[in-house]
Amino acid sequence: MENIISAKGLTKEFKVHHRQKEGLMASFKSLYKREFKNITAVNNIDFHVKEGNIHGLIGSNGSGKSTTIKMLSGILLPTSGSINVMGLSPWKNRTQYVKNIGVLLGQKGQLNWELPALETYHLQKHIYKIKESNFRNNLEYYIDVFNIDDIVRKPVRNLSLGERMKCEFLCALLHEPKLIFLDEPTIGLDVTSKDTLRKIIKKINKEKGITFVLTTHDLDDVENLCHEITIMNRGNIIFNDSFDKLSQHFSQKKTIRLKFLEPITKNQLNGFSMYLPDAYTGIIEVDPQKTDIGLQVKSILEHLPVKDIDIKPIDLESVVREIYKQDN
Amino acid sequence: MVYIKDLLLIFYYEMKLSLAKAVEFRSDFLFGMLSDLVFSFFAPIFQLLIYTKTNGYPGWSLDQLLLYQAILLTWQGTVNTLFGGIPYYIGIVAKYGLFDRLLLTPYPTLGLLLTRGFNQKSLGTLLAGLIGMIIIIYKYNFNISLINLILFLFYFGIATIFYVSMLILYSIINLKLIYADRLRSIFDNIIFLSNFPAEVFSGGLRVVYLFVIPIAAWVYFPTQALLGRLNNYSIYGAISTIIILWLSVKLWIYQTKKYTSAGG
Repeated sequence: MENIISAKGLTKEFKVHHRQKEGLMASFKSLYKREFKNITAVNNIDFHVKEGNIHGLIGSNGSGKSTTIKMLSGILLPTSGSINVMGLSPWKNRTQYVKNIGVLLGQKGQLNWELPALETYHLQKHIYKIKESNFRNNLEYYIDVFNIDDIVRKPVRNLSLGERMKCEFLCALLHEPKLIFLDEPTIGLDVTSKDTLRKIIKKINKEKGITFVLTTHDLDDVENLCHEITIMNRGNIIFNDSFDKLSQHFSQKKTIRLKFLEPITKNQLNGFSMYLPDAYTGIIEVDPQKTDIGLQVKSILEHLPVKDIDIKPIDLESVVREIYKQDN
Repeated sequence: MVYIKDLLLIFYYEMKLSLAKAVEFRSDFLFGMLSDLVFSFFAPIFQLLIYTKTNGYPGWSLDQLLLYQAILLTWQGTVNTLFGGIPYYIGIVAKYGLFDRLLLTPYPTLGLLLTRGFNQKSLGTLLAGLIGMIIIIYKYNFNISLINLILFLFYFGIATIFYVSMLILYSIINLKLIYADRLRSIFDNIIFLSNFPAEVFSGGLRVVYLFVIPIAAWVYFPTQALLGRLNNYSIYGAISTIIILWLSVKLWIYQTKKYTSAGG
């Protein structure tokens, strides 16, 4: 597969107002004298996305993932570095470039609040000069995929967050973009809505071959959707590979989750390296290549009042936590 | 230039959406139109009071001044109908980082911003101004030649260009400072000065009024054109307007490159 996005040495620095002290006096002082600090939101990263993939960009708050998306979509001008998306530079060829991309910014919608979403779709048709027949076909197809035939006819202000997100998503798809950026698409949604949205992304990716780049805090999004993952921390990329590689990297590890009959304190652990989320629960991560799980379990059962035991492969959250720990 | 036809079409659709939105709240729409139509006549009455209770404005008879006021209403109605939504829109855009959305559309951001300006609330003022102009022209037997009418339309265009330039500068400052609500009152106060003809001002103030910040372009020059009293000053004022437009567009492009968005 060819790369649809190639970014090299991408850096973005911001100059931000930085106040040392809090309080009223400091506020007055900032009226005539302000201190600024340079912040490197994205630090010299190389980033590639293969055509037809769903690529996840994950990281904690302030890790630089949204800034990266904004540079890739042409919203922000990088401080240095180069971006090539479908042979175009997002900033230099902006007006031509944005015809080929769709962007869903979770908290910055484009629907008209007082009117049904259909009205905004018609405006999109004129903005992107979509042919009448294409517009009709796409609208019909996506309304069916999203199952929102009634919803698009109601004023947006009357819709639930999940319904609104579906309508926003449809809006980003109407002009048949080859690449879609989704900035935290499942933020604030309930479990059912998240699941529906993920199924829709998968279906569109499969049927239309559209490439998706999504940022998220929700590791379920990554687990259920992404072919490739980039993990960012403090403006740097700390992992960039396929989801399978990430799984393989840690798959040999297992998690032993214990439920106790009575509350346990750290003093009772008898040297077991165990994480206690609460007094009745204990979690141990073990590497079967280094430790005999059977012996480990036997020893636990002999020394601790175990009510229930569950052995599972390590979950993605723990993997990401581990990667962060190594980077920090 | 390639974009102008498309942008005009988008403006038309934005206008339809804006009207559809207004009609959703139809009582507010109707009351707004009605009150605008009625209260728009108060400004000329206020001017009439000033004129009759003072020595008046040098070089201006009462009928000419009334025509000035009607043109003022027409101009305000026109620019506020076409672009009146922009100050509010740019405030929201700057505050919540929504400029991102403009950058994601395949048009120059400034052009697209101007398509978002339609404000149906000022249709009443526009109507009041046009009715006022027709009544005054007929009632006071103003003889308007074709050339004066063409010059009037030309200077009315210049007036609109100057207003747009000021709006662009206003938008740039808003985007730069993020939160600049008070800027609106400065902008409104500058516009308020167009209520008075150039003869009210003297010395340096008149130079500023005619050329530096050519407030005269808004109502004074179009009225003088219609009355057939234009002089060279109006050409300098028009040139000044074009320079300000060019500067504001350059500054807009510069500011867009400096845009930092907001939030994650």
